[in-house]
Amino acid sequence: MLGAPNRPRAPGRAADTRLAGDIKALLAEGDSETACAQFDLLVNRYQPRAARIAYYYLHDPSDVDEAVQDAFLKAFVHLPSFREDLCFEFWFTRILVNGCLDRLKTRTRRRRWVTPAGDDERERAERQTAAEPSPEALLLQRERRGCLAAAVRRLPPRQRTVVILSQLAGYATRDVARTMGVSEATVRVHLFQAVRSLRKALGGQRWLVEGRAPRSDPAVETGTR
Amino acid sequence: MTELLSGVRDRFRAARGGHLRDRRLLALLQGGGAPGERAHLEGCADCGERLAELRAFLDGLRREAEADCEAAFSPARLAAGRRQVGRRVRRAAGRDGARVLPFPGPAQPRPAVAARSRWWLGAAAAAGLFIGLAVGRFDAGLDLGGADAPAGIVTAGNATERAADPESHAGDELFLEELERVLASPNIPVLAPLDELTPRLAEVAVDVR
Repeated sequence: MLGAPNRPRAPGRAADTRLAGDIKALLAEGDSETACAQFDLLVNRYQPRAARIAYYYLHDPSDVDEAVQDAFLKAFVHLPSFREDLCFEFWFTRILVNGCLDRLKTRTRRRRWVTPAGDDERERAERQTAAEPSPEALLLQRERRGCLAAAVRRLPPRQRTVVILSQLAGYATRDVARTMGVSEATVRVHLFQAVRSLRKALGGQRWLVEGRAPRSDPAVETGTR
Repeated sequence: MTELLSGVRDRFRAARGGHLRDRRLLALLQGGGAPGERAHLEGCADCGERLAELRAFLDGLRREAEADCEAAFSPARLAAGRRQVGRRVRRAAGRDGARVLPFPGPAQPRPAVAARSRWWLGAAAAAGLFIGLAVGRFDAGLDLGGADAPAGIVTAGNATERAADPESHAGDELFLEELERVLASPNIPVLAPLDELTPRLAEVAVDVR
């Protein structure tokens, strides 16, 4: 069931788009108090997913918090220009992804001039706060996730976006295409190239396929997506 | 275009009984794929195995990424983030009554009364300048005894007169001798060679004369 638990349902999307239209109307009428209260509903619904997407890009929880907040604020400020024929989720996701890419550019530029210090220590300290079974398991887990994050980070920007939205955030190919403003064929090409690169980079990592399901009827498998 | 041709070629290969490429397997996992390809999968153990491997890889990718994200973002952290978004949104909408400091803009024009009361500033400046010039001229006349040379400016004429004055010349010589004496005994040994190369003020003064 690839991505099924995370994939948002279309009726929910339509309702959210209608809600965004209502907020837009409220703002036009000057009823900003009700508009804020309604916008809270959208924030509650999309914040976990937004945090996950931003985390796959930025890998720094503090940066992610800021990026997600900025994206919601930007969406609210630009709601008067929101077109109801678009899907709010795709519109918002595009704002978020663009914000993350901007932050990555800024970070790269800053690292060119400033030597980062203490990032690993801070990350280690943050991870230590979570309840983990043992130091060895923690080390192994950190190593695995570091490998995975590094492999995703090394992908070209478009391939990375496709992998994050399609495989990690659980969007369908059609939804990724709408979010990125490209055709579905383009998404498939980027996804194939990205998966090939990831398999090459992580091919020796047996832990990735340790939990794989036993082989079953191929006809059933192909019908999952 | 290349993708399209490649897809057609792969489907043709599948229809002929050849194995499916990874590209087609991924498309099948994404919900695409032609009926012929699905039919091929039913009978081909090799392609089925590869499909299972690809599925396991993608599952593992997602599983690790989700676990990483869940470890980084606790429900409490997400709730704090939502509250912060709410605060910022209300501030942007102007609903929280927060004090907004105005951005410094261009200077506002002063009231007319200020413009009217500014005339005495010019008058005071002119009077100060006149008094300063008069005092300066009077002072220069006392010091130099000349009418045209202001204080502090040494003209060729009065320089000749001062050089010819034996008392002032003796005072200058005394000062230069003292200077030479100090310079002739450097306190820093390292600078002694440099000091030797430097021409003495007395030598320069003799040459000039």
